[in-house]
Amino acid sequence: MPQYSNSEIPEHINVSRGSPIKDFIKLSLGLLAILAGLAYFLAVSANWLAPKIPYRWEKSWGTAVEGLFREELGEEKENPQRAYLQSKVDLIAQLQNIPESMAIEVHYIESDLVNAFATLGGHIIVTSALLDKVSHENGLFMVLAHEVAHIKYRHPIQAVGRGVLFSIASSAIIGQQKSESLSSLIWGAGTLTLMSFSRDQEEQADHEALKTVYDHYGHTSGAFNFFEYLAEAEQGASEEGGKEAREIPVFLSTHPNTRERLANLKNIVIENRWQASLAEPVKVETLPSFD
Amino acid sequence: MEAVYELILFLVLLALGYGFGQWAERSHYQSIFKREKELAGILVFAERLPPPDPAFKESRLVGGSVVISVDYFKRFLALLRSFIGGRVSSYESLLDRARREALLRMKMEAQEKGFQSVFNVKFETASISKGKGKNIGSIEVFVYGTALGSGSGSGSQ
Repeated sequence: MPQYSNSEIPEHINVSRGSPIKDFIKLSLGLLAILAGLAYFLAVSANWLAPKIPYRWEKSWGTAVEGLFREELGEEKENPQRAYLQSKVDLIAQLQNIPESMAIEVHYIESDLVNAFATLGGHIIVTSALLDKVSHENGLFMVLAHEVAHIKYRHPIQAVGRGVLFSIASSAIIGQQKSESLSSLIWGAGTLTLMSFSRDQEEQADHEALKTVYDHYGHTSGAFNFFEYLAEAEQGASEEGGKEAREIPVFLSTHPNTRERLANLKNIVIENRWQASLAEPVKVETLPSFD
Repeated sequence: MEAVYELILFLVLLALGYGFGQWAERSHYQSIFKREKELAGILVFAERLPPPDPAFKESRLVGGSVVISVDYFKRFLALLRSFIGGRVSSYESLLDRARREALLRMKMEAQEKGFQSVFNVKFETASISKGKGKNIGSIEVFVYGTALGSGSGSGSQ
């Protein structure tokens, strides 16, 4: 069989040249950039779309949310604290020109966690620990006005809308060929953003709250009472290390750096000349005793 | 915190996959180059009908098969590639190794049985487990053909 032979096949015809690690870096960075762009686009569209959802709908979803936290935090009874908080919130709603149809409901919950938050359907939850920590009405008014402002600007529905859009997008991308690690990464990122407000939203609510405090009292003294407490607690927690970390108010975890925030707020006060006149002593309203 | 552990586990698996995968590939290629030279004397052809030759006294079916698995790193790289498209270079070397290894095993069988050439060589590939869920995908390549020659008597062994 002399007429037959097998010639040697040259390498790198069937196999591409190039380092796999370079390929990996290029692909993962490129995809991360695309995902980040997509996430940004989704966040922007959620912020744009969410306020267009009628408040009536949000209200009905809010009932479901209410069931969730009620289960977790126990039965709430009608008590003087709730009635007092509700009267303040109604006043704030009036000051912030919130239409009657957007009813805001306050819930007072016995808890050791210092927390106040606004959620879907115009519900504001205030814990007993927070009420203990604020030393006068002006400080509490600022906190409540901040939460009411979140509802005024429809921040809860924006946050939830963003979370929902993220999870839809991630299941659309990952879909059937579900790779455990990749999907959990994207899901993790999606749920993290679910109920936290963005920095801009916090600033918007802070600004509105401060204006409300000024409109009501004619000055902004005492408005920072609760934030000053937070800043101290924050510093205390960072100095004492992990041992005390448990006691950091929950409020902190979803809000921007308190010191920075206080500085911003004080700037707003100075710019608008909202400070109390120096000639007269500042009057702060005391909290009623609920015993 | 759980997400951080998962991320660390994922990166460790990726690094292990890369380390062992590259090491296995390099050593496999070295062994392939060496054995391809050794078995260069056994000729293989895709032709179905060999020319009539008095040397072809005997014929026999010979085959070689190999199952080869992809590593974690390559699989992830292929997943990334699947979003964009293009040459899945991480699988190319895998399949190349599998085909050449299967061909070498077939040649070895032919050599042991004393044949000098294999005609009508065909390749079959099958995907095992198809990379479902947490399973790492693996492939099988089977090569078979008709060995022709004078049979065991005049073989090189």
